[in-house]
This record gives sequence, C-alpha cells and structure tokens, in this order.
Amino acid sequence: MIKDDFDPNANEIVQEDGTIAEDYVDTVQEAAEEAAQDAVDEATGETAETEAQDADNEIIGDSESEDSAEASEEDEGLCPRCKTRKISKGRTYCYRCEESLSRKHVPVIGLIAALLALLLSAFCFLIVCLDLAPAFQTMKGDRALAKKNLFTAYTAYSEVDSTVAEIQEILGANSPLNNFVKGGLGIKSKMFKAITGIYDPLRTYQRATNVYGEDVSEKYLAHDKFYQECGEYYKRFEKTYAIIQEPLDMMQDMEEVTPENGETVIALFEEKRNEKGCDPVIFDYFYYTVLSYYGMDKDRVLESIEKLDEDAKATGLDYSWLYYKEYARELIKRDRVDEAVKLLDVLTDRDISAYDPTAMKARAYISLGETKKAEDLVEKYCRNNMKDEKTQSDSNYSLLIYLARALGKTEEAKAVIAEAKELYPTVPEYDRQEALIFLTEGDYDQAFESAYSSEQIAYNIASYYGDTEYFNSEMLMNTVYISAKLCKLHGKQNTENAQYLDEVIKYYETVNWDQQIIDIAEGKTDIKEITTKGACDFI
Amino acid sequence: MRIFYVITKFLLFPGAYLRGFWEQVTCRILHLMVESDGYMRLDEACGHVDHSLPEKQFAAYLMSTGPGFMNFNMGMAFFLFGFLNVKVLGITPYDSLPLFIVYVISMYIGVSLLNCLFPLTEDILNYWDIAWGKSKPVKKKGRKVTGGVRKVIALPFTLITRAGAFLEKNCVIFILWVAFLVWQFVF
Repeated sequence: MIKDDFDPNANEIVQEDGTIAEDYVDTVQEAAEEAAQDAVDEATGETAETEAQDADNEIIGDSESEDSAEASEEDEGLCPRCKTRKISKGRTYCYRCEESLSRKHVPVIGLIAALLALLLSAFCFLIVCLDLAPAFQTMKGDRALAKKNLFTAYTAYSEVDSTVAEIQEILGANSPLNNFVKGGLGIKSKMFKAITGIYDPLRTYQRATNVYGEDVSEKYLAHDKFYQECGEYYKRFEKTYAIIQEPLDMMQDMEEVTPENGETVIALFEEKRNEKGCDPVIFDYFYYTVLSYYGMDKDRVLESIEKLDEDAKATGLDYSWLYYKEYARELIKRDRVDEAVKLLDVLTDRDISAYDPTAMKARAYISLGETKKAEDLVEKYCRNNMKDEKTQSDSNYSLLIYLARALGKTEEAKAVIAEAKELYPTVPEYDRQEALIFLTEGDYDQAFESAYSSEQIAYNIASYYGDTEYFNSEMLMNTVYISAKLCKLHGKQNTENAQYLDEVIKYYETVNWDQQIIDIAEGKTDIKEITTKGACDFI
Repeated sequence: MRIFYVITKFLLFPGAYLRGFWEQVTCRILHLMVESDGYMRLDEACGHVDHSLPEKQFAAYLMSTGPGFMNFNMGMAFFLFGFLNVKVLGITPYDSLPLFIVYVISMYIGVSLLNCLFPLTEDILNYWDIAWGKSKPVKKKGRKVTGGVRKVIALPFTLITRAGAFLEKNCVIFILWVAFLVWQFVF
C-alpha cells in the first residue's frame, strides 16, 4: 500500500549532502501509519460504522450535534474530509485526501472556456498588430490636434486611410481580416474638427461631404457638434449672400474698377443692409471687401472694418475666422502693429500651424525692427510643423526663405529655395520669394522669370484642384506686376518667358493698384523697401 | 465592501472565472491541494480557488503571478482589439453594427480579465514569508542566489502585487477601470 500510494516525484528524497530529506521521512512514516490504520479499520469494521454515524449526523442536520461531532473528530485526529483516516501532525488532511485534492480535475467547461479564450485572444493579438500602424497614425493626429497643430493633425488623419490600404494590400484583396483593419467615421470626425480650425466654417461645411463621403447617413452628421456649428454659419452666410446677390452681380458686370463704380455698388449695398435675414457681420464683411476692391478712401475702408469688428463682438459669436486677417492687414498698413499682433495671436492660438497669421506676425515684427522676435516666431512655427523628424514642411520653407530674405541674407535664402524646390516642386511661393530676391538684386529679367513661374504653378493648382486662393492673392499679383513692369523698364528681356511680358502687363493694368505698388513698379520707390516694408509681402 | 466585490466579480464574470481556472491549473502543476469546487463564490475568494499554500519560493511566486500573467496577456489582447478599433480608429455603429458590437464585447472581456490580475492577499503574503522568513540560499542553474539578493528581488514584486491585491480586494481597480472608460468614451 505504501508503495502504491507513494509519489516519488513529490519530494526530493536525497539531498545534496547525501542525507535523507525530512519530507520524505515524514511521508513514509505517515503512509505507514495510515496503512496500519486502514488494516485495523478493515478488520474491525470501524470504517462502515463511522460512515453510518456521519450519514446519521447529516440527516439530523442539527448544528449543535454537527459542531460537537466535529469537535470530537478533531479530538480524535481524523481527516475532516473523509472523516475516516487519522491525520498526522501539522497536516490538514490525510495523505489520501491530500493526494486526491492535489490531483483535482479542472472542470470541462473551464477548459473549453480557457481554450476558446486563448484562441480568440491570439486572433485579437493578430488584429491588434495589424491595427497598430493606422492606430499610431491616428494617435499622431490626436497629439497634433491637442497641441492645436491642426494642419499636421489633418495630414496625419488623412494618411490613416492610405496606411490601412497598404495593410489590406499585404493581406490580399479577399482576406477576411480586411474587415477588421479599417478606419471608421470617428477618424473622419477628427479630420473634420481639424479642418474647422484650418479653414473657415463655411469651407469646412462644404468640405464635410468630401471628408465623410456621400454614403454617410445624415444621422451621423446630425450628432456632430462641429458640423452643426459650421452649418449655422453657413446658413447665415447663404441667406446674406442671397440678399446681396444684386450688388455683387453688378460688380461682376462692371468692367472698370473705379471709385465711381464703387460708389454705385456701395449705394445698392446700403439698400440691402436692413433686409430680413441679413447677418450684419457677414454683410459688413462684404461691404469692407467692396470698399477695398474699388480702392476707396483708406479711412473709409478702416472705418468699415472697425464697424465689422463692433458688430461681430455684439453678436457674442466667434467671427475671427472671417475678418481678423484682413483687419490685421489694415492695421499693419497703418503702422498699428501691436493691435494687429493681438488679432493675429487669436488666429495662431487656435491653430499653431496657421501659415498666413504667422507670416504676417513675422512681417510685423520685422517692420518694427524686432528681428529676434521674428526669428523666434519662425523657429517655433517650424519646430511645430515638421513633416517628420528631419524634414521641413513646405510652409516651413516658405517662412525660412521669407525670414532670410527679409533680413538681407539673400545667399542663405537662395540656398533654402533650392533645397525647398527639390522637395516641393509645386509650391508657387518659393518662386515668388525668388523673384523678390532678384528684384532686390536688380536682376529684373530673372525676377520676371521666377514671378511668371510662380504664377503658372498657382494657375495649375487653381485649374487642377480648384484652389484659387494663392492665384488670386494680392501678394502674387503684386510680385508679378512689379516684376513685369521693372523688367519692361530696365530688363534685357531676353529670357525664355519675356515674350509674355506685354501680355502680363496688359492683363494687370486693369487692376486698381495701390499707389505704393505703382511707385515701386515705376521705379520711383527704392526696390529694397519691399524686403522689409513693401506691400508685396502682405498676405 | 465584500458585497460590492462579489457584485463586481459577477459583473465581470469572464475574467473572474478564467482567473479561478488558471489558479486551479497552477495548483495542478504545483501539486497543491484545491479545496473549493467552483470559481464564482459569494465570498471574498470569488474568482479564486481555495488552495494550500506552496512551500517553495518559486512555487509561491508562480502561484502569485501565473494566473495573473495569463489573464493579463489575454486581457490586453481583447482590450486593445476593442479599444484600438472603437476609440482610436473610430469605428462607430454607423460603420458596421455587428463589428461595433464585437469590439464592445471584446473590450468588456478585456476589462474583465484585466480586472482580475492580482492574487489573494494570502498568496502574496505567503511568498513574502518565504522570501523574507527563511535565509537558506536557493540553488538555481549552478548559481547561488543568496538570501539578501532573494529578498531584494522579492521586495518590489511583493510591494506591487500586495498593493494590487489590496486595490483589487477593495474594488479600487474596478472603479479605476470605470473612470478610465468614462473619461475615454464620455468626455
């Protein structure tokens, strides 16, 4: 019996020093005692009697009798489990019960559940590995969004789909795993949030369809807070635009941009001011734009935008996206740089990747002679807008070129332009900056070449992508016009695109230029003025 | 607190049941006696099994960490599978309702497994007693690990596991999980 019940693997028998282990001795002694007890039990029939007595106790169910029975069993040193065999000193159960308890089988349901859980967790682990790349891309966007670096956030979110597509390509088009590796509407919602800061709410609202896709139900968009807000602005804009449609049509019909024509349009505008549904802020903005477009009296232009500011503040809504940039520009033109910087701060606080307000601030600092502030601003912007750890983004290059040029470091600026053009050949701003450098150096032919190239790139962007902002920008028109005029006046006109010179000048003659621009174009003002103070740098 | 503890264990029954299962498997491996029959009980040992305490240090260590290790690995896989897709990759019911449900269930199983990581206080105290109570060196792969080194190694592990067991016993981990999920998905 001893031999049968004894487990030789349970204890280490012979120790390193050659002595017999205490555990082994205990076990053997215990087994021997139990074997002897079993033999006595069998002979006397005590086991059967004890079992019968136990059964009686269970039937009676009297707690007092149970307690007393347990107490008596303990006194007798019987195993509390089998209640038949004695237990040795220091043990809880008899040897057999201990063996039985230590070999207790795991439940079948538990085994099935554990195996199923293991298999499913392995599958989940596989999917998690596949999801990691797009997830990191999303988290990169989240971090940028938290820092209000909206353009980086938008770019990161936009790249999630391409990352997912790459993984799905690796998995194969028909792989069932493709269903588990994809970006959802939640990412599109974050993209939408990023766009809200980058663009104005009107364009954001219009772009929503592109971002979400046409198949997305209105139900989902109805829950999007940002979409709702943008929609409110859009509705106000549409109503106001419908009201002022007539004077705007009149503007388009008028061929000449003269103050007289401007007065006619403005008179018609005034008639519409108090019509029902007209948003005063949006109306004021259009009013200011018309005054500015027709080159009306500067004080009147400033007055109109100041009224716009008052009306906007009275609404309690955030209209900074609509007019702060223009307002800051007007203030800088009047040397009210500190006030302008405050307005621009609002825009850069909302989106630290906002290029135009940052460039305007840098421009404002340079005009004040605070070059250190301008350098710090550009450095901070570049640090927050890196394409990756080592590569500058296209807008970083634009600012770095501008700063070097504005500080008179033309060679450095040219080197940065060459580097930037190699990385981003389709950014028109680099050629425009190059044109300004050539103008400063008095190389008018090359200035026209670069300005013309910039205009062509901007035109292509407008044609292919429908983004006309840069093509219609004041800074590009100024640069092209000044370059063309100065090339015509002082250049050799022997470059590749010189043949288009007259055509370009003729086209831009129709524009109602600021006197400052006319003075520069006619060579009356020192061209170096534009490197620190000229209107060409305005955006 | 015991009632709240039992309620949380029953709410997160997949993790509690599997925790008990892995404990029993560990007991089988270590030849330890298992005295209880089920895993889901109405006392503070809910999600655990009543077992005899191991007498050797590695066995005590394995008893304290083994079941939690299994739950942690499986729980992380389940939880990340759901969390990455719902929270990070933004899968919504509007994308695919069945997938969304799968992710939510997966997250629930993950949380339930990760809510049952720590051993009973008795297990970790037993490990502590073995590590600090005896000074005889343990031979391991020909190198003698002295009592002092053994104690130093045991200290951080015991502190962390003891703290975890205390937090789990007092439902703090459950509350932290609820707070985390509310923070992530509500705010």
